[in-house]
Amino acid sequence: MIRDCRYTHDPVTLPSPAKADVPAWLGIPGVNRWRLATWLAGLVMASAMSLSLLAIPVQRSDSVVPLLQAQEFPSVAEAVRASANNSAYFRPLRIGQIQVLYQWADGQRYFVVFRGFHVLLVAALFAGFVSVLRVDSPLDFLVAALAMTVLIGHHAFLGTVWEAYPINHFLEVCVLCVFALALARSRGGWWVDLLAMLTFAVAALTLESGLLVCVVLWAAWLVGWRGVSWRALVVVGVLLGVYLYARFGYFATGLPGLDERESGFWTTRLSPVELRQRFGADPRPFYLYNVVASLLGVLFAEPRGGLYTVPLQIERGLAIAPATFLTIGTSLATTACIGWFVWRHAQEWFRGRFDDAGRLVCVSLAVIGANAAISYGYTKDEIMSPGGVFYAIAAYASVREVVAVAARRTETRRRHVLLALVLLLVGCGWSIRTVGTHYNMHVMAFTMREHWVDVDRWLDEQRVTPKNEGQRRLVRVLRDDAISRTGIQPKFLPQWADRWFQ
Amino acid sequence: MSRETALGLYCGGPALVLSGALIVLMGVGAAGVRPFQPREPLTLAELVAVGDRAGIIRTVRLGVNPNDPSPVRAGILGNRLDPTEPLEIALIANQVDALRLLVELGAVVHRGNYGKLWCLARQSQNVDARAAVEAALPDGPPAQCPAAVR
Repeated sequence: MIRDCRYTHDPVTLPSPAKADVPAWLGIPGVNRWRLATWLAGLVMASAMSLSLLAIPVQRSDSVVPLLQAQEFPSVAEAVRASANNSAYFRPLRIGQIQVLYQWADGQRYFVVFRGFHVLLVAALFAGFVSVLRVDSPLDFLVAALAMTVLIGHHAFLGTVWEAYPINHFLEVCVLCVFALALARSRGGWWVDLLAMLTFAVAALTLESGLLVCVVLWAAWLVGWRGVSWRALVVVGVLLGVYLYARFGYFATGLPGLDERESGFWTTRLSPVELRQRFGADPRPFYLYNVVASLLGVLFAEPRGGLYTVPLQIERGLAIAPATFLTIGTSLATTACIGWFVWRHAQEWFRGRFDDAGRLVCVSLAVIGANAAISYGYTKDEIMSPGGVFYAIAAYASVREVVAVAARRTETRRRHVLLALVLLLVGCGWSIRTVGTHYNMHVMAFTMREHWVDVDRWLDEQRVTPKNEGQRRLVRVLRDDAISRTGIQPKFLPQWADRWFQ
Repeated sequence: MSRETALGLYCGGPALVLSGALIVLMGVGAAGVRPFQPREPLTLAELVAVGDRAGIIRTVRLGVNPNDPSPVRAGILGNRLDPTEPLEIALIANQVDALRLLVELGAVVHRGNYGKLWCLARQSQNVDARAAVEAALPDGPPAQCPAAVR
């Protein structure tokens, strides 16, 4: 039985490795210099990410149609009400948020409002991420810096920043999941309970992945973080029941079918028709494939979106790209650290004994597993983005312990040098992947600008023609805005970059 | 420095170096410098050569005549090209979409340049390019193409 351990250093908590004192820094009492340094590093990373984000115009595909729909609704309430009757998806708050921002843009400031919101989400994610790491020592700080590159460099993260629909709700779910973890790690209180319920409600009504918030809350409680009380968790359970009833009972929204969209399967992309032909009679093997593919994708960077890139490149007679080696190698090394951590602590966990690092890893693994499970219908890197964020959190806890234990146990100089070399390679690998994320965002910025040039033709192809002057004006404003933006021209980027970053 | 901090430096060091590099890049970006990009703005012909259609629209909106020849610096289409009509560049660089856009923006295919453009399109072996040139001047004169244009 796990006892209530509201505070971090309770009797069942194992000692954390090498915590430094909390000295007064720059005359500010109680400010830990390493925590502050981590916040500064997070600020730098978030600022750079935001600047890359601001280079990307509001995208044409996936954004214009929701915005044209928003133009037709007279109010937010009307948009939410209409969205509840959608088939296959139940995302009333997603539509509501788009409507709010659309109205706020006031016919002119679409880029500022939508990209501004995206930047806020990025800032919130970094703030939440740094906050849940609870950095205390120099080692914590150094590993947290690595964890930030794991966060940004992870392939599942890219989808949260290089596009939007026109809000990136995958990123929003990541933020809410991390926020839920921060609440679970807090000292608790009625307002924490209230925020936890609210977080779940907002996440669940925004996107299906939002249900992961309840996994975070319950898993955190099970491993001993009691910032959110059991009463609140019961309410979250009731809210989940209400959600399921509303979705499948009252509104009868149902679930997306096999023929919703194409999907990666081994080394080919199957069209909806092919999916129906192959798995129409019994979709369970396909669903199982998606769950396993999603899980492996987060942990080993292979497959990607259901496609195994190594056999695919071999099949096409291509030399395997350095980017493939880089992503698989760094993910493999990091996952090995997480695996080692699990192996080392599994017995304690079965006895109900968790330290903070163990809790972080357990909650993270629960989120990654649940994220893979809810991706059963369709596997895509973006959908696994909460899993990617929690992978970075698990990496932080695991690598920190690997380094601490290795420093104590490595006796010979040769082994020490070897270990240092491996750590350096992993650190460099994740940093290169981080640069790759920025690279891909800038290339995407160019592509999106180009997309806007022939938006009218594209709208015709989609059979979505602006119906009135307001809609025509909306498209014109967005097109002019995209075209007026200058940015990096991919032609002038070094040729090797494509093979290392794509 | 403790042993664990020293080891931690190996795994976290690259991320810190990256943070430093990002600060520098943000600083130079704020100063208007774009790494890996040409210092001088691209001419209309160069924008056509690299297929930057948004850039083409931007440049024409700034008042540049889409018919005016402009040079292409070395490295974009091989050696430096003397001032050349953007339509010709579109065909040399096989940028058919850029060619169509130029025509939309006011670049003129006339009886004087039709022959050269048609031959360039034929040389590019791009059916769409030839169709685009022919569509721009449906009653264009028959062209006698030399063995190699340029």
